[in-house]
Amino acid sequence: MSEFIEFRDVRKVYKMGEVEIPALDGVSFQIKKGEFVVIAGASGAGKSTILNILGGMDTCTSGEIMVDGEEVSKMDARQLTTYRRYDIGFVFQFYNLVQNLTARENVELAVQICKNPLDVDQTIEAVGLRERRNNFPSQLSGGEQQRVAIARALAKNPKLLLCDEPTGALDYQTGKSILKLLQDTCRQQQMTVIVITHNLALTPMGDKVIRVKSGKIRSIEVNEHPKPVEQIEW
Amino acid sequence: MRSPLFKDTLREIRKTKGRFFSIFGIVAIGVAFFAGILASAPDMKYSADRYFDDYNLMDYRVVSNFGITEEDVRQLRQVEGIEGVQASYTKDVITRIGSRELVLKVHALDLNHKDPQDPNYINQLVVTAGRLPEKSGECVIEDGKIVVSGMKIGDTIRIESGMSDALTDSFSRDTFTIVGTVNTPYYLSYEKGTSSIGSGSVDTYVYVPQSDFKMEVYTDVYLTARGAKPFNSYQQAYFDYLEPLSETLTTLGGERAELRRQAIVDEAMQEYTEGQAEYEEALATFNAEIEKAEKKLQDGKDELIIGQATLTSSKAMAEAQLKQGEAQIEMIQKQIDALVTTYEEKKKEYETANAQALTQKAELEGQIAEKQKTLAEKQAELAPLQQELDEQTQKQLDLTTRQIELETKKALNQTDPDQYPPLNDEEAAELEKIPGELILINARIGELQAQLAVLTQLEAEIAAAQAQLDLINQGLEVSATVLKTIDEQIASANTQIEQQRQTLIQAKADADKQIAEGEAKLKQGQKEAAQGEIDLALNKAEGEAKLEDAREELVLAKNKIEQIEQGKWYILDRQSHYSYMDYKGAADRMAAIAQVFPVFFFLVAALVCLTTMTRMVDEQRSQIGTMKALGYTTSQIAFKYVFYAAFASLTGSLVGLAVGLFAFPAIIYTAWLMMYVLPPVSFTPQLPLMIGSTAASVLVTTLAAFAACYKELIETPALLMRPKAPKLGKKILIERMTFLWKRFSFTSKVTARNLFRYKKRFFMTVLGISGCTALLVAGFGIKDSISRIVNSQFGDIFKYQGIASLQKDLDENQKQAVLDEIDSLETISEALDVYQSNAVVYQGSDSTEVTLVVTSDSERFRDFVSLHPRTAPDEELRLKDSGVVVSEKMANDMNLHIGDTIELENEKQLRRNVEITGIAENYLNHYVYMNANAYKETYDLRAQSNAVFLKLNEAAANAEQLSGQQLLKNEDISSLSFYTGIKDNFNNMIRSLNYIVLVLIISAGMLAFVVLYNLTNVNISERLREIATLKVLGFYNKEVNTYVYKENIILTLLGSLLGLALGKVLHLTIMVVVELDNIMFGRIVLPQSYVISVVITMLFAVIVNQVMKRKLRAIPMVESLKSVE
Repeated sequence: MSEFIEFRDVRKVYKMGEVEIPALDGVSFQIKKGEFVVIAGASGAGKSTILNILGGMDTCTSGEIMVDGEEVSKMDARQLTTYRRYDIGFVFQFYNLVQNLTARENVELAVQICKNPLDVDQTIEAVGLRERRNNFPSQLSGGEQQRVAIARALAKNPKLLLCDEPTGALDYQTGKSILKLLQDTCRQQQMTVIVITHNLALTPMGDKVIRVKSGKIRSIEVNEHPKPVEQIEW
Repeated sequence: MRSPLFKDTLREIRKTKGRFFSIFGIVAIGVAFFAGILASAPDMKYSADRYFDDYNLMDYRVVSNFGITEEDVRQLRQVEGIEGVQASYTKDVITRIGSRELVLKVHALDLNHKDPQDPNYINQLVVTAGRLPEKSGECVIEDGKIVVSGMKIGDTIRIESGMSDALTDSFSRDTFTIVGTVNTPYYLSYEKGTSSIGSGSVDTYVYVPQSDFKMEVYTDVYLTARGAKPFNSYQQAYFDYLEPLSETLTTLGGERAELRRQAIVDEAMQEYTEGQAEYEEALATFNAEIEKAEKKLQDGKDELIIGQATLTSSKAMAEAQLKQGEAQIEMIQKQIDALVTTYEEKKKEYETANAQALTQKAELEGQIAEKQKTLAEKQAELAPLQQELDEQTQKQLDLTTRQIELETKKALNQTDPDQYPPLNDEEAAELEKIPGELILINARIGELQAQLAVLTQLEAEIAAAQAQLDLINQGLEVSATVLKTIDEQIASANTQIEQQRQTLIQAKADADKQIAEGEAKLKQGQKEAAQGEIDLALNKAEGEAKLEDAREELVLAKNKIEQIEQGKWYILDRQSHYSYMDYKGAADRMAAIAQVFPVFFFLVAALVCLTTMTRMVDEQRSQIGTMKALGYTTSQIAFKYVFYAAFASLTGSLVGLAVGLFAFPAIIYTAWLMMYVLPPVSFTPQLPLMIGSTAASVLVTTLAAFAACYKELIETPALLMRPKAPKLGKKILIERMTFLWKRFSFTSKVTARNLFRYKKRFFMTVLGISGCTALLVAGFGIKDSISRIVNSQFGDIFKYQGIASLQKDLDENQKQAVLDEIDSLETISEALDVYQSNAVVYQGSDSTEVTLVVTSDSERFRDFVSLHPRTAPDEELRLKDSGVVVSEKMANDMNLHIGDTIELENEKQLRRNVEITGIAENYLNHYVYMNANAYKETYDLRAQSNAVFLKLNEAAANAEQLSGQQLLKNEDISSLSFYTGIKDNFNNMIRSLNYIVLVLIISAGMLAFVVLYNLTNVNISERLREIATLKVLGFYNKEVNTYVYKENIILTLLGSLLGLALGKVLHLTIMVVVELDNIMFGRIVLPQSYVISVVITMLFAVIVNQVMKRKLRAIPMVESLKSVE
């Protein structure tokens, strides 16, 4: 199986006036299609930068990023937008739902700009929110909101699902159910899912675990037998 | 105050320039607008008062209908508190400039008092060109702005009295040379009041040396009060200061007036009595003359009848005579015939006798011829005898002669033989023989003579026969004469008869001629009689008309005397001065407009401040919580926000004041300068206004700021540290309409929900934008409405294009002649004569000067003036035989309605009640219309036409110019005016209105910009996460823009729509408030102006959106990853 995503010596330097702060310092890794990847590291290690660059929200200073045969690192702003639009599904730590739209409408918001979206209602049902679909975000719990966010990302039928601390703002149980939803999605739909977390306890559930520290890859482990979420405790 | 808290506040300002600008901007605009417009009226008044003081405008003007005498002036001079006294003259006169007749108000300029420092030089002149008069015959004219009089320096003007009294009663000369142009604070506006002459309103003024006036009494006395200058005469303090002086003057006036009153009344009464007598005399004379004329006519008729009779009888007589003559001729003919017969008989007799005589004559002639033959034979026989006789006689003679000769010789010889030889022998022999021969010869002669005697006898016989013949011839001759005489007699008889006949024919011809002549004469007589009758009727009508005139004059004279009863001195202070009051009205109207704006601007400012500060407080919620947790008091924390708002509004209002206090009064003052003659604007410091508007704006904004943070400040720190629960998404009303809602895209749904979620922002934006549109609508509307005046007045209402004024005192025939001439012109399609004059309408204590138009032909009048209500242009207001139609502006100002009764004073000062039957659309000046019957019924006077309305023939080229040239040649037309000039003037004025429209557009633009900028700013800062998320989701920039700006656009649209309604109201308010006394501005705003206003507002919105787009693009997507603050 060919590599679906490839980072080759990617650097990212933020300039703060005269001072240059390297966020990523020569990062390289590969991810295969359909893998459930966990990128773990402490705060400020550079994991969010990897996510931003991979998600087309930011550009790298040097290096090469290939996603499904396309060189993301060479795209201009508009191409990046198109890339985000069709290829990426994003799940935020704070859900980022549009407060003025109901759960279903939030999903539709994403769907209406896609080429091959999934059925909205089925997707909502898949995340278990059939009953709550006409509620506004403020009427939903955190877990439910995150489910809506996942549904919104999934409904776009992206090539890649990027999740930034998806359980960061949730309690234990809810977090678990969200992770299960993500893992199930990966398994059932052969979706490539990348989860970013500072919680090292989650690493056993990934097919591949990439550890980051101070802008560099500390290790890349491949789990031959990833554990289902239910068996993980933290 | 170098505390961290203060530093934080200052840094906050530096960091959030956009937010600061929102508050700063709206306050600056609001204060500039409010203070600027409010300051305009005081600045206008202040500028004018300075002008008054600089040029010593009078504080009082004293006039009296009796005039003011030298003694009066002396008394006035002695009044305590009076500083300057200038006794002067004014008089309205007429002058002609080209085709125009101008009414001039002539003022006197005292050449002894023209030093500006002289307190007695009042109402000083400002020379704008040339110089002041220095000697008699010089004058200065108004430096006209609106009314271009056509006079210029160097021209000479000739003035006429314009009334029946001679100019020389008032002036010592009638021509003046213009030496300069001037302005004076005495006349601020181009409106200079009415006049009793010419067109009825004063066109312009001139100043001539006082010595060129020739009047018994002063017409005006101007006074200035000591110590009044420091007061602003547009303020009550000025009048309070003058109050005691006014009372003194009034008392003095009452006394002085009473003294002169009686004398004048007596004089007038006497004149009236004389007039009455004259009238009665004239009436008697008239009646007598008419009677005489009628008698004469009757006499003439009688003569005609006699003439007819005479003619008939003489015709009969002539015929009788003719017959007689013919009979005579016949008689004479008979006599002549008889005579001829007699003559012919006699002639026959004579002819017979003649024939006998002729036979005798023939016989005699035969005898004579025979005898003569015999005589001839004898004579032939006797011829040798005769010859021989002659020879013998010769011989005898010869012999005798020889004998004498010889004897002579012999005698001589004998006497003197020596000398004479003797006879020789032969001679002696001869002498011897001669005597014998002589004897022989003598014998032979005797013989011969005897033989010859026979002849003599024959001759005698012939002579006898000849005598007989002569006798017969004589007899024949006599009878021929007799015959001739007879013939002559017959001829003469015939001639005679012929003559008689000729005479008769002549007589007949003569008789016929005479009869014909008689008949012609008779006809002529009849004709003359008919003409005489017509002439009499005409003369009678004319005379009656003249008498009617005289009677009317008497009515007026009597009325005048009644008026004298009311006469008195008028102490007129500045409140009675037209220019002062007119200008005050303008300034007050300006002040009234300023009242419209503040509430609105403060409301918008408060809303802008509230939304801005609310957002700011929201953003800094956790910081507030932290501060609280650190132990700062509520007021310490609130200080930051209140100070922020206070600082923004304070600087904003200072900038607003700095700009507004100068820009707006200057622009507005300049706009008013279109109508008033004034020096450039002077600014008066207006501290209360400055402090007030600053305080108000600071108060409003700080209150809003406090209100915004108060809600947060009362919460516990713990709660504040946690993110604020997002405002509930709610279903809105439109969602219930599922079919509609389904069609909405997501951005539309979000927009729709957002619109109703943030009510403060909604109102701020809608109100702000509506203000913007309203200002635009008002601005364009002002232009529309004023432009409309000209087109409506001179197109829809006045359907005629010009007026020809007739000379005074034309009689009906002359008027008709003028009308006929006008009708004959190809350039004029229609003309109608009317009576047009000045009049005054009274209603309670209100009065308005109007133009009274009376028509005697209501039917045709409709084609010249369309009288209709403004609200129903198709409805026609008919002029009835009683009552009047009045123009709308006057009706509004005086609160008149159909059915009300007003007092109408005509130009002869007769005041009568009339009922209003209609109120007609009208824009320029005030009109009262009535028909001739109504006028007659009201005043018992005839409405005598004095003007002709002209409609130009549209098909004719150059109709105005050509008809003007032709009509002005007619001496009976005193002046001619077309509306083109007025139209042009007005259009120029409207062009200057663009100024005001531009100011309004700029203000509106700034308002829209600030409001929309603020709205967008708040929206963006609030939805930073949302927008970043959308970007992460892959929305293109354009889609993100639409997502945000749809709200702006919809709010702008809503605001615009509200603004249209608001603008309409604002426009109406402004129109009513700024309206001049005699001009009604239109009330309409054209549809395109509404459209343009909305379009411009939308344009502002688009511009703001474009500016804010960059800000939107700059939002980093990383924002979406941040935690909720």
